[in-house]
Amino acid sequence: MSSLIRAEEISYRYNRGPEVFRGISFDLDEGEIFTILGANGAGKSTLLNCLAGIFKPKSGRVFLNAREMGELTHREIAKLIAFVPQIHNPTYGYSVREYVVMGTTPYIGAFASPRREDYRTADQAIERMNVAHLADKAYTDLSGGERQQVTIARALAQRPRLIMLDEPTAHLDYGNQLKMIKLIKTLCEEGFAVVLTTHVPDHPVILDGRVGILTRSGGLITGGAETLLTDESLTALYGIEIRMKYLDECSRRICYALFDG
Amino acid sequence: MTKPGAEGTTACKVKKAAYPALLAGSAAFAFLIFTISISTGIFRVPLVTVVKILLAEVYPLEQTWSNSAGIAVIAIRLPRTLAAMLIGAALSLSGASYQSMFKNPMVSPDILGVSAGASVGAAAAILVNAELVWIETGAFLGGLAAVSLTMLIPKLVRNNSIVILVLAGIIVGGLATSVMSVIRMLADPTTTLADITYWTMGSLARVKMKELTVIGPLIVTGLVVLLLLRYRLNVLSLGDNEARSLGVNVSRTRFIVVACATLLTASSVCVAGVIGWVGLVIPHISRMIVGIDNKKMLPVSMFLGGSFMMVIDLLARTLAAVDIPISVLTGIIGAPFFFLILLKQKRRIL
Repeated sequence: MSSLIRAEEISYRYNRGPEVFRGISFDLDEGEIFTILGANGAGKSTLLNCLAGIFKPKSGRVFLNAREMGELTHREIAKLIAFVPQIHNPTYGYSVREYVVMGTTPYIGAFASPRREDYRTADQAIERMNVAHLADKAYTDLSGGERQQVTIARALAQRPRLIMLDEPTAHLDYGNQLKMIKLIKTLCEEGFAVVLTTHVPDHPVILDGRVGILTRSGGLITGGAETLLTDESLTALYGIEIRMKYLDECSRRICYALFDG
Repeated sequence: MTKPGAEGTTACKVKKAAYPALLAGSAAFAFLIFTISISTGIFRVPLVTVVKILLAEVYPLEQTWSNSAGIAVIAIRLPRTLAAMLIGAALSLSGASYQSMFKNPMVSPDILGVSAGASVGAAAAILVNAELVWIETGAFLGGLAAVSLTMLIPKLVRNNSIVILVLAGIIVGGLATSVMSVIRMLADPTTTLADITYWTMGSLARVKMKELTVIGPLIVTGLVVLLLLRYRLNVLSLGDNEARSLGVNVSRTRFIVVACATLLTASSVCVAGVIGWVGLVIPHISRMIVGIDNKKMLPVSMFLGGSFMMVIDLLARTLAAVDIPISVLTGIIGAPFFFLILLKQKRRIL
């Protein structure tokens, strides 16, 4: 059996700029989580965009279900991968229901509009994300957290097998961040493969999946959360002294910084 | 949280049940204006007679009207009113499509420089005494060149703001206007110059059925394709990467939308010269009525645009003893109207 998504030695550069990353390989199956950590500007979003088929890697190959990404249409990719971008400020404030139903676009003909069953799919996704009370509101009138939930509802309406989330916790308060991580874990238990980026090392520990650290030199170090997230690796990644310590109260390791000003 | 420059129009102003009624209403309104326009003029033909004469064209009816009424309706007013309706629908739908595709409610065929580019292409064809088909082709190519240039400028200056796109349109439009002056200088003062000058003022007075049989089908094709793509325009208006991740072939869809919107603009330029404001104002009014969803906004825009243009044409030929140029009237009505829209949304724009 081949994996759902497999990247082989991919690299990317913007126009004539330097390489953002190079030689990145990893693979992921349904029900698995892959968390990408990296410093600001390390290229996490770029990597995610390459994996989602939105950007085309400059070298290397990405396989979806053993078929090379370059041979698939955007429609075929969209039936397998849903992408939840970091921040989205659309010009036009579509209603939440209208926004979520856009998730069904890969199943709708180019000259057609969503049908009744597509709206049913959208409504189910809205129910699933507990945002039914927002259904008639304009997307542009929502708070950051609400937008995030609505966009995930759109991703669910896409009926993908892999969900990619670019810093899903970036615009959320502390409580909502942890609820988001919990939700991601549930999605994974429901059978979705999940790739996400985050700036909080606790997140991959809670999610307990696989981790990739995007280094300053543009490489990706991969491994299990338990083995990869160490004092040394995180200190090197963020450039301040970081410690991981097991805390009995929450039955997991927590991350903290030695910070004396 | 609203992005600067975002229109931020709220989502649904109309209850679900109200939309079919609104759409039927705007279609009925367009039909009413159509018959009123044909009945009105120095030689009045009663509304019922107008409907009978029109029906007689497709269905054998006993003639109960005078021959001169028949000629006034079929040979003179029908082509002119049809042209006004088609041009209004074309410019409105083309403006609405550009606005969605560029994620920018401030653009229209004239602001993007497409109309000016199309008129250069058409005038160049008139200059060499080309056939109508070549004038249309010239207008289409000129419009396409202009919109490509306008789309290129924000990429070159790496700035995707609403203002830059509008500025790019001003640059391209300005360039086209200068080229237009050169064409005028080259034109033969005894023959082609008069043609070009008359045509740039924008009038429907000389529209003939023969012309419409060529350009009408082109306009209808453009309208139908854009209407079919109206849901895709929703997805496209989220942004390129979003649309791509939702499975849309962005470059292909954008090409079709630009080609159709430009075809519509070029066709109306061919018939009546550059007509400003319609493509900007009508989509805004339509959004105020049915909301921003292109599935509803595009059809309503088409009917409203057609009606608006027929009213303008009716005014153009009845207000004064001579025909008033169309673009004069759209400016006098459109510009203050757009100011009112800005006033109403002052907190949201720029």
